[in-house]
Amino acid sequence: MDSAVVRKDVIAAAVLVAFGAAVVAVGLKIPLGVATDPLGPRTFPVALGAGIAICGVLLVAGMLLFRSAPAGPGLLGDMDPEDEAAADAGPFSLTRLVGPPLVTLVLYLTFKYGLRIPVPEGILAPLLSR
Amino acid sequence: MGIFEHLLTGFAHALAGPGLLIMTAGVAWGIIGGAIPGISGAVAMALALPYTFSMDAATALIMLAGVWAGANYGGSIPAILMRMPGTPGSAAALLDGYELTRQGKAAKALGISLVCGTFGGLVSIIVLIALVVPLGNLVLAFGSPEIFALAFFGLTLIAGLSGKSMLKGLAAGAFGLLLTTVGLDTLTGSLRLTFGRRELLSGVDIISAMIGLFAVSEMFHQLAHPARRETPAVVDARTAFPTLAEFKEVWRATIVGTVVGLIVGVMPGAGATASSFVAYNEARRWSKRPELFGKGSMEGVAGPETANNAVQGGDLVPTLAIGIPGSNSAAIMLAALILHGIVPGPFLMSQHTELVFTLFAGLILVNLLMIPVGVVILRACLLALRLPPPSLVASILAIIFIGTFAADLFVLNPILALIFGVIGYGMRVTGFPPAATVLGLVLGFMVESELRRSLIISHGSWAIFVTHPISAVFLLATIGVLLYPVFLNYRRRRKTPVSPATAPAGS
Repeated sequence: MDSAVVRKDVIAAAVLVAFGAAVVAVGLKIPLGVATDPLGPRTFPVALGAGIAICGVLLVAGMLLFRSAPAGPGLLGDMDPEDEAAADAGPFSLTRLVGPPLVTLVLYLTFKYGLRIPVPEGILAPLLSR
Repeated sequence: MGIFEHLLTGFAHALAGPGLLIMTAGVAWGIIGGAIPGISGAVAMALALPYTFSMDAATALIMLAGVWAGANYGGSIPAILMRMPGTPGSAAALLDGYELTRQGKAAKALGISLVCGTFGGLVSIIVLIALVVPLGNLVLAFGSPEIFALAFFGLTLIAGLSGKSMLKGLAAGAFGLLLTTVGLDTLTGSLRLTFGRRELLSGVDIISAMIGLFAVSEMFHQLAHPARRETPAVVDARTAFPTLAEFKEVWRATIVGTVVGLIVGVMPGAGATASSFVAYNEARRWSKRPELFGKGSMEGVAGPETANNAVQGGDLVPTLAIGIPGSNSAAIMLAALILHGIVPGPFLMSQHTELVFTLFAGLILVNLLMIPVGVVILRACLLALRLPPPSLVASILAIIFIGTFAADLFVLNPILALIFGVIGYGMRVTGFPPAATVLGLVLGFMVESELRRSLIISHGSWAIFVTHPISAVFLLATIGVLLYPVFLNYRRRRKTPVSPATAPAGS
């Protein structure tokens, strides 16, 4: 059994349990609702939170009981050496420095003046408003 | 009005105004998007979704259908020319398609893919029309318990099938359902899970969440796992339509592909990938010359590519008839309905007949448009394939963020797309299927509201779900779906030693 995959699944299970418990805790503060509505607005979120937490517990239980790792994609950054070399080559190449800003500028002009869709200018607003 | 009259009216609506132009644009974007590895049909549709906000519902659906149909063909272009499938559904076509390219028959392979794919798509739409109308009448007998049981069954089935681990699929589906509870409760007006934020009063924007989970997470995946991409083997590629003799050679595989695509498409959870590989195997089994498969057989391209496109009609049968999306792409179609204020569900056919028949007409038109657009747009696809991946990713992210903002000029939407992109990427890394979350988002409102409505009707008695036979059957089927993997696991462990699963999670 791949220990990296198991580690990921244990972390995922812990996140599920913590998230589910948090949802239950927050959900219990939702009002009960009206008498004619047997479930009310609280039940569904609380039940789903509990369900997510139970899935986390079952995930760990399944790993311990059946010693099998549920499948998952590779780790972040788990690349072949060839791909790593390709990824590492030339971070400051002309294409990488000029290309993205140029494409961004073209897109900005197209949406603002071509399609007339307002585009948020953010930190550039003071500059562009001059 | 009969079906034929409804369909003629649908054609009139679909072709009104800029309809033809919008369809052409949709098909063109679909082909280009599908040709770019990593951008599946669902991602291409998710990217186009915000830009349909200003269109009416029918036009929006037709455009998305065009993107879907186009992407199904577009994925075969890099599969045939570069041995790299553009979409998962085109993986089977590369087995013989690339061999044909190496033999100097790339144009012919592309032509067969285009023509046979169009045939499969058209036949599947005709079958869709024939099935949806009677099914739509059948579901008129459904009440709240039946609708809840059906939606819950569909969600469990697809969440369970969308990855290698059913538990992870169910957790992802539950997360999607949970997201639909954020905001104002429609039955009582209570605020739920808003944390005092005004922006969350109307809930989580389903479009932004969907785009984040599908498209933004895919872009993060491409940045984290950059793959070296070969330049297209044939720079001056063109499309050559098959001759009559070549049609005679591939007709059997085309029919097989159509049948397989339809059957697999109707089954929720099974999509283009499964149908194309099944069609490849069946086409080889029914072929007069099976020894040629894998060595450049035209049937090896015709079968899977026909199935790949025939899935569209099959996918839409459960989607339109009962409101359960059969695939990620169908889920985006339902999201488009929600975006336009139309609640998807079993009564869509009866309450919005004109819309549905306009969609049928549009589906036929976009499949016909694939041939001229596919021939013309090939060069643009090859140019797109030559773009450096970082520039491509940056451009697509820019399109995503502008699109999510432009939909309703709400600055939270791009932020939500980014947040869900991070969540979606984290889900992919840990083996949780984002598709199950999207399904939960689409079906969540129906599941909760019908559950609560059923209990209000029965004055709190849960027996209503078992005293209604249709509901009872669906709930039994849900239990079966949940227990089946446990049973299979038990049987496997009795026969063989335990070994870790190694296949990647489904898309």
